[in-house]
Amino acid sequence: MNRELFLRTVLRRMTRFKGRALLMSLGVIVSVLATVLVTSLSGTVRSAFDGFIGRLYPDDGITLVAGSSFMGGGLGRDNLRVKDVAAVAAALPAIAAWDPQSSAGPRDIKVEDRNTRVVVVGYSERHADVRRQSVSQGAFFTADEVAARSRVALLGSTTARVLFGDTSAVGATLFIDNVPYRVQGVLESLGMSPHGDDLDELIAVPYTVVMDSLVKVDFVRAASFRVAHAEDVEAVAEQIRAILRQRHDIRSGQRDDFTVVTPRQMHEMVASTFRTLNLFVVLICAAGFLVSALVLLAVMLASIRQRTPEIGLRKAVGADLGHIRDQVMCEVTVIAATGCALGIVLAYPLVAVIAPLLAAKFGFTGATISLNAIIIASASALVTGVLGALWPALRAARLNPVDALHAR
Amino acid sequence: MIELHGLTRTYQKPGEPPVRALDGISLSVAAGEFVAILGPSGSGKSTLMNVLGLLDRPDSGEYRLDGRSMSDVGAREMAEVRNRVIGFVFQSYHLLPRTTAIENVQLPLLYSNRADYRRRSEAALAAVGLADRRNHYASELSGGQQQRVAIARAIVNEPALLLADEPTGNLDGTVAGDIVDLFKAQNAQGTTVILITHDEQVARAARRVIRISAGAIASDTREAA
Repeated sequence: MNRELFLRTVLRRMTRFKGRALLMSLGVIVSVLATVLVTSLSGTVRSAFDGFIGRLYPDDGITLVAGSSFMGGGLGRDNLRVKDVAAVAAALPAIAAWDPQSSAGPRDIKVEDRNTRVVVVGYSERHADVRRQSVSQGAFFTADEVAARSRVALLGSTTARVLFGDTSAVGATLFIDNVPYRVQGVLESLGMSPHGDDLDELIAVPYTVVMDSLVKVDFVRAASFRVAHAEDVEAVAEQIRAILRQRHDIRSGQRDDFTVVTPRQMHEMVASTFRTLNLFVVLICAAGFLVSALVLLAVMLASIRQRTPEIGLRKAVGADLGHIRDQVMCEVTVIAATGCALGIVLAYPLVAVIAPLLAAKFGFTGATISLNAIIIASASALVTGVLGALWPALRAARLNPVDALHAR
Repeated sequence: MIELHGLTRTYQKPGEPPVRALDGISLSVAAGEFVAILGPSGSGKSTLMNVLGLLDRPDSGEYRLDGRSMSDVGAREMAEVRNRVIGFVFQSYHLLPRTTAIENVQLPLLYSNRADYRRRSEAALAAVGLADRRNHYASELSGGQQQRVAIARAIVNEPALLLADEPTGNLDGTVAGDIVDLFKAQNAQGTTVILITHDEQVARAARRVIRISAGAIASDTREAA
């Protein structure tokens, strides 16, 4: 066989029958585009989640949440007291520091003549150390201020911008439920959560103020512990559970009225969520490629029927079964490959449009097309082409030359 | 060149009585002959051409081409013989659509491996007088020109045997004459030509006329040299 002529024949077929080639490749273009985008973006989302979890649940941190169900709530959400947390920390030398958190929910905030509602939370002075979030301007509260229930406030960076614009908030006075607080600093920015929540939209005051003045409760919502050595985290978490069950008088067989969360659990939760998500992504993309293969198959079968005299002629001038089969296979594969290339090329401008939207809405930065996505999509397109071509190719190859020549 | 001994070929279509298209044909054609096969439609001449051209196999009898029996030659080798030894010309030209004249001529070269395929295809197109139409699509050519492209395609591999099935069937008088002249020219260069027709005028070009009727040879006459 003359390879040069063969290649030219296959390419010519595609360029001279552009409409049909486009129709055949459309499914592959869309499937490749979708696969490249979804695979690339799910990678970006995954790393955004991992980054978020890593920031909120550092490797040496343990979070203790009041209530039997995770994310707060459930049985016993009013049963975690500061003295419980302090007792746990005192009993376990592996714990280097701890920080309780309470929340007063959204409150009326007034600065000069501007009114708004912002969530007010309570931190201790150890928040900066345990939760790794200090201030970008001004100063954190001191232990004395927390103990003295001083009316001092730290602003999330979004809240600071909303209330004070470009002017410095430090030293200003704001009113929470008409009670004046002195703004002592602006918290370091945490950015967006992957759910699209702004983590910088809050006001932090000493937790003692939240408990005794704003909400008037004797329990906290949660506490964070920093463990001296990150490798001890799982063991310490078990010890925390044991001590708390004892302190809360929980008998064996009864559920905890608190939840201990370790970074490993959080990472596993993200991983398992993404496993499910990825399964759906794979199924949807596979369905796309399956449909594409069926389109290739159907159009190629119709094309073979139409080209029966041509195939008869090719056989008359010396084509054997293998030549015809190879030609049909190559025609379809070249169309699938072209569709694949087009899909990949189209994915770039689309990502360029989508990336800033993702960054603005969810804080997913650095959305790019991964090489992995391109490899997966290309391999799928190739398999699609071969699957779609196989039957028409064999059918064409097996045509009887005499019948084919005289077919109409 | 060609020796046939007792060839038979029967077609059986479902629900119809079997048709004995070839009923014991024996024939020999020497290299360099120009043979016309004449017969009414349904006489089996197309079946004979398909068997001679290795597109079809006989049910029984022997076909020897260049002294070699074709009975037990495999499909791949049959394709190779069609490519190297035989050139086909059909009544309806069988040019590929949206394909230029030169590309049509190059078709058999796709299945052989000749480095000089460009020169060969240009030469074949020139031999039929269509060098200036090389980049025209089939649809842009007249019937006579299309058949000439088809002849260029048939001779591009320099076959020893040229088989033509009603090559002038779709053409009128003078154009048909030009086509017959092309076959004569090929024959003059030593190519064996077997031409199937029901046109006495065309058959007159041949030096040997074989008449077929009901799958058997009715007469075989040679022009006096």
